[in-house]
Amino acid sequence: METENTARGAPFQTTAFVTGLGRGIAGALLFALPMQMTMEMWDLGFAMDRFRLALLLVITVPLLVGIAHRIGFEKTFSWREDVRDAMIAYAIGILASAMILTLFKLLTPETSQQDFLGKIALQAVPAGIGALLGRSQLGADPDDAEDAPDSGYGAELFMMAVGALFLNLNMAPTEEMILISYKMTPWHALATIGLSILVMHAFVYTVSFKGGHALEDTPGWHALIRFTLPGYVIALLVSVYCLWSFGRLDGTGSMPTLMSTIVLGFPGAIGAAAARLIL
Amino acid sequence: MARSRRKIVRRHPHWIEWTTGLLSTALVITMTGMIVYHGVTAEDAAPDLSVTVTAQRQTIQGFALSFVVSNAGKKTAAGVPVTGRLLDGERQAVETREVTIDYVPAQSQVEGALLFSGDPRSYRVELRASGYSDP
Repeated sequence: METENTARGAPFQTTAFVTGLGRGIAGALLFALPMQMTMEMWDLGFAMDRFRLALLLVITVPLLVGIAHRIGFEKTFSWREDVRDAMIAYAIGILASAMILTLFKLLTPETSQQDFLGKIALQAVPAGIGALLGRSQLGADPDDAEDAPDSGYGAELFMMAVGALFLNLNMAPTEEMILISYKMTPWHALATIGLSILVMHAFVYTVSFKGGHALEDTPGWHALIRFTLPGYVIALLVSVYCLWSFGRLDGTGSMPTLMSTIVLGFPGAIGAAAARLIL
Repeated sequence: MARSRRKIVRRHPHWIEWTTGLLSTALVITMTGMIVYHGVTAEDAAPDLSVTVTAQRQTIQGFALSFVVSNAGKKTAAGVPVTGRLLDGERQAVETREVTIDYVPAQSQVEGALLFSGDPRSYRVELRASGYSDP
């Protein structure tokens, strides 16, 4: 391993790696605390369907590897290193979750085994993502988090999915998501769709944030169809996945399902747009 | 640095970008259409609740009567109390139990159970949703 790194002219630096771990823990806390302090998330630890929980945990692995490919604890060169970084982040997520949940006395020796595992596993997903993001967002290197090499179309859509998933994991467990959708009339839902798309598009192309995208001579509607609308569809798919995972759609008819997907898709859309700017 | 961060949207992209884009557009339009259709047809809709017994079994301390509340209407009902009564031969209630279901969404089903101390099989069971509120 060491010779490999030396050969590439990037010797293994212990201090840099430890700093990376520290940022990972900081990131896990920063991004996952809102969820660790949400009652519905604790309940899901034992109430969530085991198959759906397992599926979420499995999906998280390629997700983390994908994020690590763009940003990681160290500059990564190969997929093998990305997998390593992703697994480190996952481990940090698990440890940080176990620590925080114990601190809040949510995990005690009397907690049943299923509950214990479920609570930690569920929280490890956002905490793991947070651990990876921590390195990029809290890092000091000016050229960190730069996505110069492979900012392809697929990568762009992937980052939108990550952004949407992150915000959705925050909000999907709460009862408010379905309650809002029950209160809304179809016309409110229509307005939400319009606003989601508008905000997504404006975030990236018009209000010129630091990471905004330039259109140059490409007409705005090109970007709308090629990036914003696929991004919105991704946000909706992530939204329906999260609602289903947390058992919010069980026994629910098609129209209420669609409405709550749109409600949760709104924060998802903002998350997706923000991810394009930040990551 | 600010320069390097800005990504430029190319004018002539790969065909896959347009395919994905057009598929997504079609999906969003379909979804919008469904909602408009729903909005027009469900103008002044009301919840339409019914309760059916699905199973009864003995528990450690009595009997559990599982049920399904269905909402056939196009509007969601909130705080639905489901009342179950065991009636004897003279239609007198021997036992009354009630549970409140938080939400019964439009055209959806929610499961629940009532716990009795008497065996529901030896009585007439009356099970109904006794009300609802707007969410």
